[in-house]
Amino acid sequence: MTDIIIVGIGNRYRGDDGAGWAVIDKLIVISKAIKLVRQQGDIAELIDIFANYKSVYLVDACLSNAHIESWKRIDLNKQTVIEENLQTSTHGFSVSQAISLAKNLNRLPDNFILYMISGDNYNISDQLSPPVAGSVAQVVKALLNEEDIKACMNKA
Amino acid sequence: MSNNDNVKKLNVKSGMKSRTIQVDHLARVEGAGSVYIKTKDNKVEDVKLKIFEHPRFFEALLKGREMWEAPDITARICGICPVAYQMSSVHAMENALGVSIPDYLHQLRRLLYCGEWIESHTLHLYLLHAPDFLGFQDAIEMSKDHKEILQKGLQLKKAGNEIIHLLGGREIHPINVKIGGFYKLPAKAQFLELAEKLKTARDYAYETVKWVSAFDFPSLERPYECVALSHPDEYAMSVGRIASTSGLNIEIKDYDTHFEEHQVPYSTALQSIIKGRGSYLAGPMARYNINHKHLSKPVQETIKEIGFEPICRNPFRSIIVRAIEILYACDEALRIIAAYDWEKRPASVNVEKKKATGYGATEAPRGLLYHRYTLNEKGVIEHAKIVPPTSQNQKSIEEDLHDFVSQNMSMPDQELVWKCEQAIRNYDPCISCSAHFLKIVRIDD
Repeated sequence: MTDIIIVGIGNRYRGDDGAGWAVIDKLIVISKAIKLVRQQGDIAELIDIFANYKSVYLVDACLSNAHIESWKRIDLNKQTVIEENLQTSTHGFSVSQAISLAKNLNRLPDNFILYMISGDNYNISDQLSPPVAGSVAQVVKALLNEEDIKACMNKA
Repeated sequence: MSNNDNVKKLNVKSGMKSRTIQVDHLARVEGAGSVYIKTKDNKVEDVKLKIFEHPRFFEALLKGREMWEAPDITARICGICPVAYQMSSVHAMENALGVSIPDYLHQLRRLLYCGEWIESHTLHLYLLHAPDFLGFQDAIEMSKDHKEILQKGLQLKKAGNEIIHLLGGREIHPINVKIGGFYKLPAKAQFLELAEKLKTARDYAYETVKWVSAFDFPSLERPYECVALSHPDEYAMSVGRIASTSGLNIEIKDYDTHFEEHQVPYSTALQSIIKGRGSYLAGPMARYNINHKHLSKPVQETIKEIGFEPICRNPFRSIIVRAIEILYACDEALRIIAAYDWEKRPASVNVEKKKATGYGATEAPRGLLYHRYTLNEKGVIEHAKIVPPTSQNQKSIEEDLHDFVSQNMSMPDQELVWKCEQAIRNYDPCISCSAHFLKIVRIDD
């Protein structure tokens, strides 16, 4: 039973918001060694995942601005993510609020990494914009280079 | 209570004889809305609940689509109550097509609805509404002091999610519901596994009732006309007639004869009234006031234990009713699962297309949800009408605010604003649902 989980968060039918799920699609080759999940951001499910795995990788899209590169790796046990627009999901619960809640409930994993992909088009579409498709490929490569993921795949 | 965020978003002007309260962005509600209240000479002059959520034109979107697509398209109106949209949709279509489903499929639809009531009510109660009663800005702040009960609340929500996942195919926007029944029925073993989790959830639901019933509640009694589905044999969820506490008792197909919607200039959501009578209340309190005698015996005992009244007209105490409905939904889900013996039975009945109009109304977590469709002979939707509970409750919300402010004129500004927002959260409004429609009239000069 693996202690590592990679969670792609988003909506496949809202353009670049499908980036998280697209990463999971490409990682399917390692699914025997690592738990892979596509999530739409339900707060109870997310907090449960944080508590039940030692190493959690989240992949999510965000609205880009001048300060964010095409994608960014954030260690959530060391850095805080603050989302300015909190009405990003049903009933206004963002991933960062789920993280804050989990922190207060002492339900954080030992290793907790967020890969944040800057998106641009969030209209109804099942296609990623070309820059985001490129970022997805880079994030997949970066995940496969994470130490614990590499070690787990070598064992399998 | 931290005041900094409230000060940024609200504008309270107090003069010698007048006061204007404006909250530009309501917190801890789904969707975008604001409230404006003006008082003068110790009287409330004006109350406006302004919905500025962008309309999403779902009724127009449905035109030209095949009837089979309606449950899946309408489910996308809302991520927290998709089952409600699917249920009202399939019931309306089955009404149009003269389709009758066997009782075991009704029971399974009821089970699916139990899942949604549990997860939706729990989300609202724990993460949006309870902080108000305990003096916290939000659930994150609340979680520092109420870890244990909040963890149980999240597990309770997860139990609701699991019902929907098992029977609906996934938690958000389920994919297993169709006109005539379901696409596939789960194995009994899967239900038995779920039942074990639901027994624990039931314990948490009981603790939730005890917890919220001990809160302090602001005083406000309102003479609502409560409107909900009513059934002679059960606490109505998806089958019944439309009834009210003022004697209304009609078939669902007669909804448009008795209710009407109209646009107000300050809101993208339509407002509903009972023709000739005015505002009405839909939702858990309405259901409870009309149907409480059909709650399960253990739930009735819990209601006696906490000393809760059989009729509730204080909207601030609606949180207790939601907790009671969560407990009932756990009991009902366990009852249906215990009876489940149907995995080898057909998952759906046969459905033939025909030209027709059909009507459906079921009880979304927030209240009565009405659908009407007109189909052509090819089963293509020619016209659709959807009336969600939050738009039905808009006038009630404004009247609650009017009465509450009138009775609390001497309350300090900050506290009054907080209580007004709390009063809106009593309804667990789903603003995105309510702004699904906009009528555009174009005049060419």
